[in-house]
Amino acid sequence: MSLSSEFQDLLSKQEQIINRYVVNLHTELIRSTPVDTGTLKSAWELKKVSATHWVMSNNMEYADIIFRGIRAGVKGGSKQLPDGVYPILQRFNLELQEELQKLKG
Amino acid sequence: MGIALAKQTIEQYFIDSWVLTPIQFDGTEIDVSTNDDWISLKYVPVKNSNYGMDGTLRGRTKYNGQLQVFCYAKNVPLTYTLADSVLEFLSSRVLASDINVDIGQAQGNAIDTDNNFYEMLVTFEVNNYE
Repeated sequence: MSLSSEFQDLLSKQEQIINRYVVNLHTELIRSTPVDTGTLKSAWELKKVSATHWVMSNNMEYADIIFRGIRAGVKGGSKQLPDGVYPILQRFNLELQEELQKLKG
Repeated sequence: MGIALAKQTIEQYFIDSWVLTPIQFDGTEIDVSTNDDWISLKYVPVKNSNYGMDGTLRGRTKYNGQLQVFCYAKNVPLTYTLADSVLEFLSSRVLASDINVDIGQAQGNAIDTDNNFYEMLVTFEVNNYE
């Protein structure tokens, strides 16, 4: 295998890993989103911008209140998602970095 | 002791060194009605993993967690300033017991909490090794 095709192979594997993590994260965020009317859960959007660039968004007006979790002295937050979404994002980022590190060998 | 130690060490660091505002610790209550600003701390364990310097996974555990610091002030500019102070206070610090705090991230903008305060969330990735 030439250096060029080896490099292409590496990029392809990297893209596959990222795709898998993005889809899993999107699924996890939808699964974790608290349900009252279901509007917030159905507002998640996922767009692929380029091979390794994805955009995940939720544009509901109160999304930021709910996704920060429950905190003292502040109305908002949900018992269904007490710690918010940020620990989920950290865990997925950590696991993705570990997986990409293995690819480097 | 991993996750408990991380939480205790971080809280102790704030008790010893944070002088700008009152602090609300996770599971406690404070009266903020007479304050212009305050912060609230919450530590969330995220992932525990095995690791070893000898190539095996025996013996040592890495505890990964997230410190969430909610910053409250009376207007948007002051809330940003408070968030900046928290970032400067804690980013890239190594605390007692080898608790490693990564560079902090402000998550989103200042939001109106409907209780006469604006809120910003700053998160820090925290790692410690046992």
